[in-house]
Amino acid sequence: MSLIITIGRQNGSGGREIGKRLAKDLSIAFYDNNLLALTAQRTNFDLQYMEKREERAPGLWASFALGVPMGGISAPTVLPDNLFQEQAETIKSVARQGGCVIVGRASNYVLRDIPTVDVFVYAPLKDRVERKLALLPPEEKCSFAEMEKKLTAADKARAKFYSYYTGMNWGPGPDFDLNVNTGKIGVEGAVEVIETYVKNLKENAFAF
Amino acid sequence: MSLVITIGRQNGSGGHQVAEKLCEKLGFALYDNNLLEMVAQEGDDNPSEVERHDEKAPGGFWSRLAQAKNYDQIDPPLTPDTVFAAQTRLILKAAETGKCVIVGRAANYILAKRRETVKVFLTAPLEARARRKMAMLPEGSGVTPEDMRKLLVKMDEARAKFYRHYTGSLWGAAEGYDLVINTGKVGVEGAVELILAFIEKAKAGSDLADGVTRGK
Repeated sequence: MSLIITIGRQNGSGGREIGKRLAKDLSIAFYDNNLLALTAQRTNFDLQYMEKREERAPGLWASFALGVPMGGISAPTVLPDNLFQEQAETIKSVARQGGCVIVGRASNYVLRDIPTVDVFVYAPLKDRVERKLALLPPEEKCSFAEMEKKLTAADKARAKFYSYYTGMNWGPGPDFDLNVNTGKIGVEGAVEVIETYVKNLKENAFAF
Repeated sequence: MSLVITIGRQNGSGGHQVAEKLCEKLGFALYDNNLLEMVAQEGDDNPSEVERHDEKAPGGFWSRLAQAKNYDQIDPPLTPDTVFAAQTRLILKAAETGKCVIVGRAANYILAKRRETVKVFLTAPLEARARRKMAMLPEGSGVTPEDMRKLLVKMDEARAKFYRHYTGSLWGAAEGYDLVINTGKVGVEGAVELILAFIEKAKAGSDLADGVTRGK
């Protein structure tokens, strides 16, 4: 059976980087933002609009506008709900193609009917802010407090998205197979720990 | 200062065994139910009486009222409060020397500010936990899997209440831990390997390196 790893992540905890390295080490495919392009290809959705709306719960106005074409967006109209459903289809289809690492997009929930290893990475806010600041290009420099605000808001939006579509609470916890705090061990350490987990998967691990 | 590992656990997820194996591999001291004997010895109390109040939240209004009459006694009877306080003292003392694994007793919270502490929480699906517990029962015990599942849920509830009461945070909420492992898919051995890998990496990052402590 092919190995499918889903990675949920708090903003700034290094989930994307961890996913990339895992995929490389394990020689399996890597899906993150590229899922959007795949979905756009399949559905003719407007890519720019999708980028703005994905991993978000529909806002109040969008739910009113259901079924009403929105100005300025190329047809067919993309509403967050359709976007989520189509993105879910894309995730299912890439999972059918073989082993892969999928970051975010509630993929642990989307793929709940097939055996996957669900990982969540998180870290104390302070560590995440520091990490993000270090990664910023010089022209986008901002203060610690600004970044803290940004991350908190981004987490909030993600939590809303997750609970809207899955009915579960977003965040680390027993719904995942493994939750790793990257604060103490960093990206590399987390990769190592997750690989140790994969190596130790029991023969009948997916019997549950 | 040296390393302390704390292990929180859902009932039946293998916390005690994981701790035992870690101690074997690292040559650490284990603190689990032996804390009860230590508490009993310290206060010259009955061990079974200590156990009755172990990892429990105090009762509601009426039981507190009933206890109120004991407050001016020189040697008041045990309550969840006194047992938790005694355990907290013992855990803090054990952490002074380090090189130990502490199971449960909200040790992750008690040692929240301590550096060189790796905090682990173990979970597993209810089904797997019930199966594990059933296998440990003596034959002919007459306990059905259904009974076991119900019992586990009840025990988890009591533990969550205990944790909530003394720490003010949610039991098992991963923010309070470094590593939360579902032992269902990797078993006790796998969990031990994982924790060792985590410690190794944390050491490399110098956060846990002996003598070299860096604030986080």
